Amino acid sequence: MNCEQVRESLSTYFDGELSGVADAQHQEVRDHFASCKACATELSSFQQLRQLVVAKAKPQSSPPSWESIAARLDNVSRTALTAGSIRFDQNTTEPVASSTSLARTLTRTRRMAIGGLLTLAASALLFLSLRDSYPHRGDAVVQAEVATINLQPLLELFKTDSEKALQTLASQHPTTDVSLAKAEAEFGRPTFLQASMKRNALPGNARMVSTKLIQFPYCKCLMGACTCGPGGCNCVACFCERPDGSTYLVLEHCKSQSVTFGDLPVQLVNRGNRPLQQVEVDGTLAISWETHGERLTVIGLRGPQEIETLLASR
Amino acid sequence: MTVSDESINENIIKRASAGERVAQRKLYEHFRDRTYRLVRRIVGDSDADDVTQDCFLNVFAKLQSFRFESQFSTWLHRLAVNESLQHIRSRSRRKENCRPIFDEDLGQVDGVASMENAELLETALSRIEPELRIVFELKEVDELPYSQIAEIVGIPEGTVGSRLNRARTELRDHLTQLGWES
Repeated sequence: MNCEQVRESLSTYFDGELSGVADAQHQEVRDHFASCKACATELSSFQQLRQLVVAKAKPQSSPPSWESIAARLDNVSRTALTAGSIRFDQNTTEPVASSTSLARTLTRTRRMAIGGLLTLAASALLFLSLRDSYPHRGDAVVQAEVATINLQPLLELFKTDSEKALQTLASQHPTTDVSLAKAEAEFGRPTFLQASMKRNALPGNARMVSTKLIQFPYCKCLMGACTCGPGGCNCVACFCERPDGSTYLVLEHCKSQSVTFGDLPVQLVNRGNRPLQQVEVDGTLAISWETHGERLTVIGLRGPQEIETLLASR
Repeated sequence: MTVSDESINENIIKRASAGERVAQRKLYEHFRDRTYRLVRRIVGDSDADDVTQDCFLNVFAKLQSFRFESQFSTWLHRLAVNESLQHIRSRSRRKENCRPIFDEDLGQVDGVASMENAELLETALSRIEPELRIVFELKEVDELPYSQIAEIVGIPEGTVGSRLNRARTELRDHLTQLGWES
């Protein structure tokens, strides 16, 4: 072995990575050091460098606190929610991936606020005008970290006033009330609940009382990669009422539109070999799970029995 | 599933991935020290805090893409290395017209003579390429095997040795230039 060959494997020899896998080579390198002072000096300098590193005093600084991370996570969640309403306006004329000025966006948002809350009729008209300009967006959108929708406020409000919770959700995203038939036509397939009703009663013997098409802000699905219909990326919200007047909400949305429940403790439970995210607030349950090409999120269930009924229906 | 630490199991990672703060906090508190140390060694003290925060925000955003096929700590280290390198490149672009504190043409300046060995090493480390520095630190400080360094940095295992050769040789030369007496 000549000096050049030895120098090439100097670190692997020094770090003990030559031994075992190449015993013969290891021995050759070791023999070389016995006869070559220059290479032995080179090896010795590696050892001195290591001693310098070991002796190096490590500065006593601390990593950032969890609180600072949590605050930034909260910021991201808020940005996602705010961006949802901004994009609602922005998308009337601008492609999603284009960068419009914040000032213009805010001005338009303020104008919307002055105009008052969207009425159902207005949102229906708006939806119709938006439908063709809200296509499947592929991945040419903002990064995933701002794509998550925090459902914690929705769940917390839902347990006290489900209708108001639904209105709030509708005010944050392009939403229109449609008949079930219209929803399915836009969605491109039967809704989960419609398919369930054909096989079984809905959980809690509920009936479907309203259906909405919702466009969540950061759907990122590619055409054909999810269940979104031909009209573009959209999701379905079905509002169901039990005989006692209580309600629950079933959201069918793009798999890539991730949701969280904020600070609420989420349990991962397996039901029928299906992993579910499950959250409970004062007896009100929410579950979310992925299925073929979509994610289902149900808010307002009463207990395991209703979950089982819901899952068994498909 | 290859989450090596017993206290961090698959369930916690999935819960953190779902956005559960309690689980995210547990993950953060388990890995923050070693991640911070790694980031600090790459980007330096002044930016370590910000880059560590960015790194963990990135980790939480990308957790859903973790497939449990490699060790979680390796996956996290890799993100930390990438985040740090990205930061360094961005910082270099911002400061491209600024003169470094110890420029090559200064040679052995007066102040250097009184530098402690730790300072000499820091200075020498700042003079070699980040890609070399990372491999050197992962080996000498974290004492990781070549296979794990390769996975973290995203290079073939055979390249680890050659990068270490360069890192050690260049470091030694810079140290000598700075007046290090071995």
